[in-house]
Amino acid sequence: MSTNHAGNPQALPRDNVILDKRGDLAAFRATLRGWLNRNVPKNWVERLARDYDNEYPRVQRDWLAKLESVGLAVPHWPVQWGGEEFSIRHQVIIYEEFARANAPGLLMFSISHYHVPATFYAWGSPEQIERYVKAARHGEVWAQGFSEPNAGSDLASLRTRAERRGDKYIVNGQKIWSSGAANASLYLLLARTDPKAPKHAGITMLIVDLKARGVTIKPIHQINGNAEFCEVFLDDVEVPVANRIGPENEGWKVAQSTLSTERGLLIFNNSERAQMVYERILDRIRAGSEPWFEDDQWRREFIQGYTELQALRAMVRRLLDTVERTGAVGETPPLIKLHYSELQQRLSELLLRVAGLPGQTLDVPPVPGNFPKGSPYYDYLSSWIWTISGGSNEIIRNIVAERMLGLPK
Amino acid sequence: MADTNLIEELRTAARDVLQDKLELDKLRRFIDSGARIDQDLWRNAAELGWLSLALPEQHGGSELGTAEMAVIHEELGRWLAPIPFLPTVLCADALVAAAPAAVQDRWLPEIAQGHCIASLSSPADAVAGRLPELKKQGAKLRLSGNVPGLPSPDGAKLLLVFARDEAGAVRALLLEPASDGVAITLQQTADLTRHVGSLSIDGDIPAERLLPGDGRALAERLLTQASLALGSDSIGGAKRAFELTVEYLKTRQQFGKPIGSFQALKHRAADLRVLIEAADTAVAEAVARSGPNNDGDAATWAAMAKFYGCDAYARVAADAIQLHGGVGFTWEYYCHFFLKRAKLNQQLFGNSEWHRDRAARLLTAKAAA
Repeated sequence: MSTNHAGNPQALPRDNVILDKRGDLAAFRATLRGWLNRNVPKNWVERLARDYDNEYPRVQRDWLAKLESVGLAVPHWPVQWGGEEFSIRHQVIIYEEFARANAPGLLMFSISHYHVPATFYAWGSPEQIERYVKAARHGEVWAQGFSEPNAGSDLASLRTRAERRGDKYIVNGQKIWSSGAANASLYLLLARTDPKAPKHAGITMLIVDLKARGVTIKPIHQINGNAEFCEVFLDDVEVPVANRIGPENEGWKVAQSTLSTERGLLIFNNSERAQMVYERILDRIRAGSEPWFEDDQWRREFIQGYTELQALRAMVRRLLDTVERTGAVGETPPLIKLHYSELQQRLSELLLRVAGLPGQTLDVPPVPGNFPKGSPYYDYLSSWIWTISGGSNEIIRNIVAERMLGLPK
Repeated sequence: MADTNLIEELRTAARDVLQDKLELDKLRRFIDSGARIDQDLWRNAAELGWLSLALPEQHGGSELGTAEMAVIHEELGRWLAPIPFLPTVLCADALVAAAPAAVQDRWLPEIAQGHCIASLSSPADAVAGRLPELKKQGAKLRLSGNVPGLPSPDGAKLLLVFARDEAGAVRALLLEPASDGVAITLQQTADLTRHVGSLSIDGDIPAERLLPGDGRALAERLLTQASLALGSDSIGGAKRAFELTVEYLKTRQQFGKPIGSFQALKHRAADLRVLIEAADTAVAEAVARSGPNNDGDAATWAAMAKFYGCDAYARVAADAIQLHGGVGFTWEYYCHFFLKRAKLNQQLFGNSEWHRDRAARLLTAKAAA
C-alpha cells in the first residue's frame, strides 16, 4: 500500500476458509456464522457510544480489514477488480448472517463499494480505474455530490459550475445531502459545464479531491440527532481535466450508471434488520413485558405492520430472485421503495405512541445505518430519510403512475 | 414445490374460460336475471376439473395442491364468478381429511362431477368456540343452536357443521339438508355474485352424520384453506378492479385532458398499485408456505393473507368507485360488483380484526420447549 489514499495499512493474511465453501450454501452459511461469532468485535457498539467521531472510522476500517482477510469485503465485485462475482444467493446469506451477528457493516464505504465501481465500470478510463477502483476496494472513502439546495427532486436543474481553463476545471457552487462526506476524501461531483444547453445536456461528472483548497464540508445537524449528511461548499476548486468521468456534458448519463447500482441488497439488509427489531419485540410480548399488546387497537395495528413487513421481505426476496434469474431488476423497485419507507414510518410511529411519555426522549443509538434500531423516537424521525431520499415518494409515485401504469403526463 | 409452468397453464386456461363466460356485459345479464348461481359455469367448473383439482385420483381428482387451487380461486375472484366453488371444495377437503371411506365414495364423485353443491359452517366460529350444542339422544344425535354465515348454501346437498359435544369437544357433522329436515334460511345478500344463509336448528339427526376425529383440527385445516382461498379471490378481484380503473383514468376526459394526467389521481393509483403488489406477495407467500414442507407457520401466514388480501381488495374496490366519479356510483357500472364481493370476503370465515388477533396469538404463543 503506497500512499495515504487507501488508508488501510494493516493488511491481514488472506484466509479462504469461507470462500472455499461457496459451492455448498449450507456449509458456506455455517462457516460464515462461525467466523462471525469469533470475529465480530465484541465491544464495537460501546466504542461508538463512547467516542463516535474517532471510533466510527476506526471500527469501519478494522472491520473492512477483517472482511478483506476472508475475501468478503466486496464479494459482489467483478473478479478482475478483486471481487468474487458472488451470486445474489450468496450475498443474501452474507447479509442475513451479518444482521444476525449484529456485525458493524460497511456503511462508511457504501459509495466506494457500490456507486464508484458502477460508475467506473461503465465510464472509467484505464488510468482512472487503475488509480481509484482498487483503492476504493481497500477503503478509500468516497462521497457523492449530486443534490443542491435548489436541485433536489429536480436534480437536472443543478447549478454548480465547472468552467474549463486549460487542463483544469474551476468549480464553484454548493452541494447538499452528501452522506458521509465528513469522513470522505473523494467526491463524485455533478457540475454544469454548459449553462446554455438544455438542463440535462450541460452536465459533467468530475472526481474532486475533498482535501483540495476551496472545499468546505459542513455536517448538517438532522432532526434525528445525527449529522451523517453534509453540505459541501466549492469555492474556486481546481479539478484536473483528467478527473472527468466520461465525456464533457455527458454527466447525466454517467450519473444514471452511478445510480443503477443494485439497491435491492441494501433494502434486503434493512428489512432483515427491521425484522430482528420486531422479533425482539415479539420475544418481549411472549415474556409478558409489553403490556400495550393487550390493547386491541395497538395489537391489531402492530400485527398489520408486522404483516406488511413480511410482505416487504417476500417482495425483496422475489426481487433478488428475479435479478438472480434474469440479471434485471424487473418492475418492483419503486413499489418496494414506497412500501418500505411508508411502512417504516407507520410502524415506528406506532412504537413511539405505545412508548408513552417515557418514549419522548430522543435516544440516538451509537450505531449508524438507516434501518430501525429499536429506539422509537430515533427510528420514527429517521424514517423520513427513506421517504425523502432516493427520489421523494411523491416523485416515485409519478414514476409508478407514468412509467408503470402508463398514465399520461 | 409447485410446478410454475403447470400453474401458468392452469391460469391461462381458467382465464380464457372465465373471460368468455363472465366479461362484464354477460355478468351484468346474469345479475339482472336474479339467479344465485351460474349453473352453466358450475358445469364448466366440473368439466374442467376445477372441482376435483385437489381430490385423490381414486375419486377422479388430480391430487394437486394449494398453489394450483389458489390460481383457480384468484381467477374466480378476478371474474367475480357466481358459483359456490369455495364452500364446495372446502367440504370436499373435509371429506378427504375426516370422512370414512364409504362416505367419501358416496360424495366425492358427485362433487367432482358438479352434482353436489356443499356448504359449511364457519371454521373460524369453530376455532373461536361459537358452536351449536350436540347431545346424544338415544340412537340419534340432537343438534341445537344457530349457525350463521353459511356461504352460498342455496341448493346444497351437503352441509358440514361444527358443534360442541357434551364433553366440550369440537365435532364435525356432515348433514344432508334434504333428508335431515334441515332448513337453511337464505339472507338477502348485498354481494351480487354470492350469497349467505343461516341455520337455526333444534332437532334430531342420524348418528352416522357425525364425522370421526377431532373437529377442532379439521376446523383449523379448513380455516387455513379458506383464508388462502379468500385471499386469492381478493387479489384477483383487486387486480381487475384496478386495471379497469387505470383504463378509465386514461380515457375519461375533463378540462380537455385525460383525468389520469392529474397528479392527485396518479398518486392514488400509484398507492393502490403498491398495496396490490404487497398484498399479492403476502398471499402468494402464504400459499407457498402452506405446502407439506412448511416450517409450522402456515396458519399464521394464512391469517395474515386473509386480512391483508381482503382488506386490500376492499380498499381498491372502494377507491375504484371514487376514481370513477359519478358513474362509479351507478348500479349500471361495474364498480359496485367488486366492492360488494370484497366486503363479503372481509366477513366470511372470520373478519379482519379476528384474523389480526389470530395472527397475534399464533405469533406470540410461547415456543414449545
